[in-house]
Amino acid sequence: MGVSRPGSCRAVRAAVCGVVLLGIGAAVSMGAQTGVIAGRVTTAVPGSIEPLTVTTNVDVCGETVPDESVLVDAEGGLANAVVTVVGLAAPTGAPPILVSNDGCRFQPRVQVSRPGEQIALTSADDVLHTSHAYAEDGRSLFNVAIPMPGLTITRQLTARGLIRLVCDTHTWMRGFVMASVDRAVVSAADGSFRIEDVPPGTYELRIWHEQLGVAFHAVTVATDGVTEVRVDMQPSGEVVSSRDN
Amino acid sequence: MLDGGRRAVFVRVASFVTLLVPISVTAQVPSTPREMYTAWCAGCHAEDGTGQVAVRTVTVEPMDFTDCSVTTPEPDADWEIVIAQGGPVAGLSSQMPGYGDALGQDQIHALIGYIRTFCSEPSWPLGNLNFSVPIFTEKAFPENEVKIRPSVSHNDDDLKIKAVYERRVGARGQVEVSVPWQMNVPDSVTASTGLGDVSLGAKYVLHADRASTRIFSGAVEVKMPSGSESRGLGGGTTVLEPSLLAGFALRHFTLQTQLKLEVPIKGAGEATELIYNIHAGRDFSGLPSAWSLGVELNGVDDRLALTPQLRKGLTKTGALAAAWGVRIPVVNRQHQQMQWVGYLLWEYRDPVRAAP
Repeated sequence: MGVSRPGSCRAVRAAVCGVVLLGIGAAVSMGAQTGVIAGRVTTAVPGSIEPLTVTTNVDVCGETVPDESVLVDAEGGLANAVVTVVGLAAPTGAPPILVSNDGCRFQPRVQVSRPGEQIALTSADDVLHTSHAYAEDGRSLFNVAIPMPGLTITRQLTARGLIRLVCDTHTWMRGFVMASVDRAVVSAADGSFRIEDVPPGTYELRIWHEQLGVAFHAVTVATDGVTEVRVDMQPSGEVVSSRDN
Repeated sequence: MLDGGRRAVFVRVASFVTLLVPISVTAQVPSTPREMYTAWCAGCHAEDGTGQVAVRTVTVEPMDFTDCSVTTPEPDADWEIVIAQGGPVAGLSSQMPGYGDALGQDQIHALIGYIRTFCSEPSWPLGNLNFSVPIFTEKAFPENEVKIRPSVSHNDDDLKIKAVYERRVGARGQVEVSVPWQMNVPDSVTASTGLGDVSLGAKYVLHADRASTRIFSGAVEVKMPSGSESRGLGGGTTVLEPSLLAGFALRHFTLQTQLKLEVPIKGAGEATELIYNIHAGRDFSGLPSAWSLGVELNGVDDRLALTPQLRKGLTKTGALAAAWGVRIPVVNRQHQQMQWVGYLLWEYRDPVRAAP
């Protein structure tokens, strides 16, 4: 008994301290204020119009497939641009992203993930596809054959930055995964994007597009507000005009 | 409306959930080896196996499977691992994808069997009989190799380095030339160094079963008196060396044997010697860069030695390999010396560097 008493006291103190700390943490969390970055990526560059000629497996892929390298809507909204908030950590433990070989195209064409996360690869086409991933430095990360529809294969994204997907049996197929440790989103068909739960502060946005390159844009996020951003991209990646509201 | 991050997570979750729902597949899945090859390999390797397709979609030149020197020398295990894991695992192009997630082992075996049929000459022995080279036992399988084999006596400083060049001829033949260089140190003061007795040889596969369990070859070497006899670098006479070579696959182990006579052509008092080598070994994976462990029983007449040894492929392609061992006298020890032995081997038809 004499031995156990001091231990019991420590245990009680630790429990009390734990409860107090939890309370403080919850209070801080409840009181935390975050903002939203919402915006649109636009470009004056015309979208791709001419379809790509299919050179193999016409019976499955068709005579042509649409060129999706630059998708621009009627108002100049640029799809498939990756907007990254530099320095704002991306959440971990997300489910695998899914890339489907569908109509002899990678669907979705552009996605974001984190280094170390999983990518699931599948096919809807009754033809051999390969999903060959390359890191930014040109290293081959993996190359899996998906010889039949309905099969799903999972791999880990072992590189950081832009990961390029190609199909070695259908040379026009292109896909991109931005494996980023920072929060990132892909612009929608109208070029819009929205990033919530951003702590107040000044950030640099990095905007990447497969054809138009990379642009940077500074943005200041206020508490409990929506910071509107518009980014116009030129082929060089240069931002020709931008506006924060 | 969902924000970008939440929407992305929702889409991922929804997409992943759909993976769990069985997809109705109406397409007919190829089942015969020919159908599988046509559907999954012919796009790059061509229907006829030549690698010549109307529209090439890869940047590397695919192997020509109709070339028997390409299709036959490697064991099934090498083919299996490349088909399952893709080209880079064996130093081949990354444009060769891995099928291991899609195909079962039976399907991969069937594909290998079909690919082997593109070699239309059945006289070529299959690579399943191409066992790892022991240090002393001559292998029965013909090779395109350069081998540097040093041996150093443990008790004195005698050093012998033998360079062997081997080249395949046709389906079953091989010719070779062997050039020894040696340094003899009879005492701590004097040493004689120079060329030893050069050998020319030929080998021919007498029997190799298609089930790949055994191979028998005959070989003959002629050792010429190019080394100085007075300086202890040569035997001083031409020696004829006929030998019988055999290799057996025993589950995960291999057994290789060599029985050789060394018959002096002329020279009174020169006696014929009987050389017998037996090697038992095991490769620890199907990769060309695998480790192998083995032990040899080496006999010369009534002298007997054991040579435990390790071998390792030095490159992903397996083009370079090295072995280390120690030859330990066990019978008639007073007439033998312990030797440190090994080899550095270069399969010069294979690329040393891995493909990008």
